[in-house]
Amino acid sequence: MKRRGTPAIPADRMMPAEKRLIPPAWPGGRTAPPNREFRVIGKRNRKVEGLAKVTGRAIYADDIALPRMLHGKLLRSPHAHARIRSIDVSAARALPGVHAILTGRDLPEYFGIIPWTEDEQALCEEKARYVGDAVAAVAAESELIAEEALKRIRVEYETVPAITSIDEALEHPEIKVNEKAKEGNISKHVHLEFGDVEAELEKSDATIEAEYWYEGSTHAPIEPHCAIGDFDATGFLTLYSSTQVAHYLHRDLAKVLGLPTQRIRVIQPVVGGAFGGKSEPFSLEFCAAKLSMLTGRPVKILYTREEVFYAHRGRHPMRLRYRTGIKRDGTLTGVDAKIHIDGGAYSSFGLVTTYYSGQLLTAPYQMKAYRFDSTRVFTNKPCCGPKRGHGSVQPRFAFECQIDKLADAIGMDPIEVRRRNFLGEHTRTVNELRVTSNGFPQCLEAVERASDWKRKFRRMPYGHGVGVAGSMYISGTNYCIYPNEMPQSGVQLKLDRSGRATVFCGASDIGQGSDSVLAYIVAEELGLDIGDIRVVAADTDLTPVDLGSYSSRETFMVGNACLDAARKLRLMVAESLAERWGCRAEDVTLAGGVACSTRAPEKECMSVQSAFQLAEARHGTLGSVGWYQSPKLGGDYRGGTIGASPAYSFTAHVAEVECDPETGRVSVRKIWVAHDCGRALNPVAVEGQMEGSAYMGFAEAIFEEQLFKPEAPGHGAGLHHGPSLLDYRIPTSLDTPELESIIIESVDPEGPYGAKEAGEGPLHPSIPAIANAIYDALGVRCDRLPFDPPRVFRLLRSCDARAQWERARAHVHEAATGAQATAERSPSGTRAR
Amino acid sequence: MESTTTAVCRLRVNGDLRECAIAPNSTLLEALRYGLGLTGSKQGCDKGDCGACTVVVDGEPVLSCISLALAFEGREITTIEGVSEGGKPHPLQDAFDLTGAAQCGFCTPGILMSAWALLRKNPSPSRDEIAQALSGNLCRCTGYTKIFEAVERAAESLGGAR
Amino acid sequence: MLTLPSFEWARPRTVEETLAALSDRPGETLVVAGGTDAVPNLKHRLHEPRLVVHIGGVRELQFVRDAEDGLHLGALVTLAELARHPVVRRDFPSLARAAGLVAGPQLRNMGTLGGNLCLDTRCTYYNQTYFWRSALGYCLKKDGAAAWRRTPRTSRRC
Repeated sequence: MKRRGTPAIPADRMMPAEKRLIPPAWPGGRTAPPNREFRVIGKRNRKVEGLAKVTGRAIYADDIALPRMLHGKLLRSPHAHARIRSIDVSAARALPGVHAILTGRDLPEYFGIIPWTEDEQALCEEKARYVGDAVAAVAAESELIAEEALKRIRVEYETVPAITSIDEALEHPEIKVNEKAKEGNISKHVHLEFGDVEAELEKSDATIEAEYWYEGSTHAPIEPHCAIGDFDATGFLTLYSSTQVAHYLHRDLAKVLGLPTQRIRVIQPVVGGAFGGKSEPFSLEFCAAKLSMLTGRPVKILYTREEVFYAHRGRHPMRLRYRTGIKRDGTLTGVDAKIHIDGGAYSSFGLVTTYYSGQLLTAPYQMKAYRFDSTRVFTNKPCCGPKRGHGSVQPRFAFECQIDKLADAIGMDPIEVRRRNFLGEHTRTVNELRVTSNGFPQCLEAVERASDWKRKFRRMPYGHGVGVAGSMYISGTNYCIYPNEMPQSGVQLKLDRSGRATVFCGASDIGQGSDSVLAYIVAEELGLDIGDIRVVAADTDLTPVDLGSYSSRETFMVGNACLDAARKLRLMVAESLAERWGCRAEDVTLAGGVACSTRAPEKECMSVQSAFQLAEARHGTLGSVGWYQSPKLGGDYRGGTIGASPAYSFTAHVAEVECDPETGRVSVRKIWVAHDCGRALNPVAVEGQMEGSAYMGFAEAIFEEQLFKPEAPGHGAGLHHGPSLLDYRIPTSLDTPELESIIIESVDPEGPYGAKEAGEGPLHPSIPAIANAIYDALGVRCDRLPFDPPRVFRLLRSCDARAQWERARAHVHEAATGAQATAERSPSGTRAR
Repeated sequence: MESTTTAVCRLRVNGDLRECAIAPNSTLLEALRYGLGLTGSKQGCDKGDCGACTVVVDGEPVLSCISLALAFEGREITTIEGVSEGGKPHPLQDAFDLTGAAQCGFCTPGILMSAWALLRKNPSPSRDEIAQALSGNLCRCTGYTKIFEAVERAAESLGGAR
Repeated sequence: MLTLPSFEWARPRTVEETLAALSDRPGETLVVAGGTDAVPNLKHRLHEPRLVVHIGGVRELQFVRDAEDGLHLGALVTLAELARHPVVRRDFPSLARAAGLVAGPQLRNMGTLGGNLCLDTRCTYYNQTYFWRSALGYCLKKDGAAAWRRTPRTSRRC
């Protein structure tokens, strides 16, 4: 049965009116250890799959080979924008070893990760919209034969002018990139205003207005996308895929293939990195499945590295204009933002991206009034989507640079400005986001101290500098992508007389350690060794639904669901023991493989295995389910739920740079990262996320840009500059700066044991901290990314950088000695009032 | 379509002499992964840019994805599967696990092979020497910090501490 | 993954055997030593030879000889060997340093001096996949009629 049409709930109205499930409350809340002190949580434990990975035993998608397996390949459009007049597959079909060929007509159903913007097909039917858009698929006995078959498919294209920039998209609504757009090439437009921005800006002693440009970047996980479809004689489809959203993939497979969801199983093998780049369905998954349905044999499709660049869904290019003000005492006044977003050919998560570009800026600083106007447009380039820090990395870069400029304008230390505008904890933002714990001041203090900021800022020789920036990020979204009232995360826990526990959960471990989080929680609650627990994850036949690894939701939501399941079982075991010993259930301890009472631990004790047997004899077969649903959150306005999260993480960075004023080359020496993750369930994993995030932000600041070639004789606009890891440079071990991570634990009342996210927040401040450090070093403002030698060199040539540098130093030193800051002396770009 | 001269070839891998049919256009990586079932070595970039396919040949790390398999007859090939000793993880593997140097784990076998070759030649490398030795292996998860720490930790436990 | 085209294979052991193999199918033969450039180029379909002659086993070409009339280097000396060879480091430090700065450690272990000197074109318009080059409209150097320049304003040469 096919589901067609759009859902009944109107666009943007993510919040169902019905009342929501409320997770059971445990006495003492979620933050306390079960036995007075933590034995597993907070310790530097190994990850559950760690040894499998380091010994080469972990099985990734391409490591799977099924009997009789065929290999699939996709034919891609060499044109950025072209109507498909005809496709002739006869010569390809005739090639020995070719078993099946698909074109757009075989998979006509539209899909899209956001139910309101389903604008993609597995294979283009009428039109190709970027160089690399898939138009046909072949299954053959080998990859080589499949490739040969692709060469024999004749596609007749009629090229259409390609739209490859934001301005072209806006200026040429008549050239429609994506026919599903309601108006011209507008993918989404959001305008929201909170408070009286102009009145607030009037109160400023200095305002800064500036434009910023973020060139797009891509995830580049080292594992390319890979999927294997296996359709069996009973009409059942199994799909293995390197996805980070098995549940959403499951739904879209059913929709596009016309199969009932209960006849599809999606299995996520070990995934070799994703960073948001595997968080929606891709052509290869539909095609591998459909080719298997046609041939009755398993079909594997492994993307080449080049195809990974075309699949993309990376960080959007954004043009951001900010007008912000500050009072002489350091108080920020109004914030006015106008943002244009280059979305590429399809919507992907674009609706959310457009909201996030504005909604996620309102902490950790108090904003008196805020307005943003964001427009996402369609262009003939690979589709952008969510990359680590989805939607908010670009605005955060711009805004943190604005703060630095404002601090400079009033001659105040930028850390002090950030401190004075601290939002506070257990409060609401100007756009009505509920903020619970907030360790931002501690983060600032930590990086200030660790970096020796006071002795470095505006005090180092020319070419050397430090910069600071802060940020916040969500710990999951408060609603599922498709409207429903079911839990966002579910866990089943099996316990038996062997003393072994198995956790079943749909969570998607992409290297961040969500499987380990499940094991740590079960080990802590049931007194087991981590090695006594098996985690079965991300297999839609075996595991209850979890929405997947996106928006930094796994530790928080999966953790809470798992805590719920584990506590239910713990209670059953504790009650059985309490009955045996005649004590209260809360006086029973399960720890380190031993169950005992707290009043007479020597006498009243047994192994946890015996305790489980006692409980099994009393209650019957042991098992429990746990689930999590976030509370109803968000402002009561259109889009008010987007950006609402049950908890927010906070980060501060200080970056130190060494720049060559002759060449414009910037070397980042060190980044100090302080991150408030609530509670670190495993500090090693949290540090890993902090370091990896800071690295990725650094990479975007200095190295990476996803560029496309302009029109030239021989080809149209929109060809990827160089879709390989040679041409798209990501930092090596020699390029990456020293990274020092400092964990700040605010213990959030809503998180599992107080935990919040750590995987995405710590990326944000890297870019502006480096930009601000370059200003401290050279006296130039880098408002366009990346800060590569040609850009910095041009900036140095375009002004008297040295004079600006001297002025900035004089300014802060003056202010520090009590002199009145004067607006006249502020650097160019500042308008004084 | 198949190459005209597929040959039966003996490859010495991890101390075993493995006989397999290899076409001239088969890379060493394909022969290892799909021919011999040694899937620990990974394919990440297709053409020698990422280092995930690194294996050690006669003591030197090489990129198996751009190596023609037939050229390796008679050479001593070590893959990640051959690093463990007596079923126990090698100290380097153990150190990677303990320090959190493997996140997604996909680059890890290649990095471990480069690090393994380094430690055999230089038991007490400096941080800079480690960074140099691993500069042909891209990691996208860790920011390299924990990888450096792991190699140092392994050097220490192997008795080569500086 | 990117596949290699089909080809036949020869693995000579001596220079004489090599010359014989090369003269067997002139114009349809590709010499491969380290393969660091040739194999990606094969994957890119920049070469589609009938025969690949792998010369990695030709011992005669593997030498570093310090003689009266100067330093003699065999074509099969790897860049890594060149970078670390004591005589090269002592007498030709810039050569050792240059060899040590090429690419990454694995590529230096594989790549040979001969291959490096006889390297095919390196260009972002050329060293790309067949598909990418088809979307470009091809370059003069392979399959096309027009030349592409990376920096049209500053460079006169391809």
